[in-house]
Amino acid sequence: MTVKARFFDGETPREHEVTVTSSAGFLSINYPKNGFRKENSFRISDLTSQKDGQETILTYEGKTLIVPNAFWLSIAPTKKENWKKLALPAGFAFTFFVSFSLWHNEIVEGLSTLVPESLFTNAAAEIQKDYSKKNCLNEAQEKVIESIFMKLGKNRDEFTFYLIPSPEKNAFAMPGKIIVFHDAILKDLTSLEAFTGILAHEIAHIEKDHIRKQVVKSLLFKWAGFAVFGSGDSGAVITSILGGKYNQAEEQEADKLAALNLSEAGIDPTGVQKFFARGEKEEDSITKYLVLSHPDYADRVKTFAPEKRKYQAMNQDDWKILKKGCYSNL
Amino acid sequence: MSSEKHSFSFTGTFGEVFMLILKNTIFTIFTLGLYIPYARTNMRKYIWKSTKLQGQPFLFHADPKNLLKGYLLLGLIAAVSFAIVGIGGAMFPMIAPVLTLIPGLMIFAFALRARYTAYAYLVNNTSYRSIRFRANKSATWEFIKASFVGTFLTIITLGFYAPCAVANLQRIKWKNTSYGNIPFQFTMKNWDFALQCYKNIFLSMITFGIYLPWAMASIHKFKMKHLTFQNAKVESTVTGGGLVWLSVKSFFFLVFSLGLAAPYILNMNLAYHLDHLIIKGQMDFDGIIQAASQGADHSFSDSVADALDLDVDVA
Repeated sequence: MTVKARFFDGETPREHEVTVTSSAGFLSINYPKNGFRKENSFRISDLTSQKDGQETILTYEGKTLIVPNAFWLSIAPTKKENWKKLALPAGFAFTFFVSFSLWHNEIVEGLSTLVPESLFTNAAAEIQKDYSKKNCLNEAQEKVIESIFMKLGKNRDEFTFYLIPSPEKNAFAMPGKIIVFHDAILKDLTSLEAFTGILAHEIAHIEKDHIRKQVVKSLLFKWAGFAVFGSGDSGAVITSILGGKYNQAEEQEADKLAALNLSEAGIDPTGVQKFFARGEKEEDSITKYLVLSHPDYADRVKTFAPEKRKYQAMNQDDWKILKKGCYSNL
Repeated sequence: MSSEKHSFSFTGTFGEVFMLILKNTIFTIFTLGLYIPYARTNMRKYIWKSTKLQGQPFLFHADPKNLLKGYLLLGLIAAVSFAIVGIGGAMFPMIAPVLTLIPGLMIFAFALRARYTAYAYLVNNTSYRSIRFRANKSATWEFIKASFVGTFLTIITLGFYAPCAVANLQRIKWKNTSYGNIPFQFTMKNWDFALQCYKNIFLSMITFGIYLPWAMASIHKFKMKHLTFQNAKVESTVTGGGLVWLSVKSFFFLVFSLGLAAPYILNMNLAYHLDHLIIKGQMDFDGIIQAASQGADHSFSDSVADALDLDVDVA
């Protein structure tokens, strides 16, 4: 099979009109240069091809041959051969993906034991430095917090508790057994029992060592996000969604332990159950499905269902003191 | 001697780039990111071969395997440096704060070097009519020094020196870039460029940003007209109006297609800039021969540039 083509010999930029002949797995080209006829021949399987409109660009060791598509298609190596090259890395990646999906908990737990304690000590020192400046807990409120810890059967001295002024409704646990409550969340809580439920949930995060696992997971998901999507926002979005999905299991674990602690302390969980029930009603349905990191409120409502027994009400005066949040200092 | 007006063009199509992005995404997901170097190289090969000068394509020759090695090496270095911080910090708490500086300093050093070498990676892997472009490796230090000095002077002049720093870096890049055995010339003077920038920034400010596309076009044209090769000059004919229209079209296509038109927008933007780029003057192809040695590969720097999201432009 013979066609006319364009050829660049890699010595000068000059274009040569050539005649290309394909035979027995080789391409031979023939063209005039400096008064002589030059010949070149290439093994077809050595050529790198790129389709460009009606033509195909073939390159090999700095030489470029541009031939019609139809000609290349009639002699090109089959796609089956190309797929063979991909089989090994794709198989490896698939196995890795399946293994990680099945044993991610074990992997995370294993890796979390490798994270040095000093990392948390240093982080905790930094966090304490920052939050202690913002902390607005007054003496009376501190006494209330102390009594709640005691009621839950926890040693107050083991934990650091901060109440900080913030319009964002949030409460969270941090490295170094630090628990932070934004004062805005107090407006949404209707009783001291509800507050205690949320506090028990944060204590459970600390007791189940979720913070350490979070650090490992966040590093793993950051890597996975970067590895799959490269740098950029898409990686960050996927990271937060995947990270959030796995976080749900920990949220549920913390809820269960909190519910158990409330039950053992004889504290009515109705308050915290109502808090989550209200969250379920207020939650935008689209957001619920888009943001997987959001805990499933229906499950949380079930977890904090009260038992068939009588609970002794907690001190309402204590609640009045605490509910003032950061404004009590004004 | 070849003709006196040489036009660039972009011949990529929506279908081609759409299929390429789809393939890259699927393969990247199924290989858990191992395909990223291949995806990046495929996209560059597509853009390069769709970019034509006088109907002849540019070609990108990088081997994605080298880039993959670069990513793996970068991952290894990151893992080792974090291990040093973690384990070293636990064993020697006294020096823990010093150890925590290691990853930051390494990132800074890599980034500094990669600003030029990632550019060299792109240049050294590019050919036109089978003749390679080449970026001198020896310019790396000159570029790093100019970056340092430029940043320092920009800070102490509260930003006023920034255009001069940019002009300096552009000049270092171009004067160390050649096509075959012929180097490019870049004659833009620092203060000429600075005055051009000040004027455009001032006009953009007093028009509350409305003039910005015209400013961008003007600065781009100014830079391009100082680039010469042999006896030919590069000229850009982009206009502020053209850039506004391009941005408006890109925005609406992107929003109303929920992002699906991204491949079309990529093509449209490249086509606009390349269709408005010409080389005027004589280029003597007979005087060009392949350079004796090819430039270094620098694939590690490209992985660093990608990981750190460095802005590395060919022009």
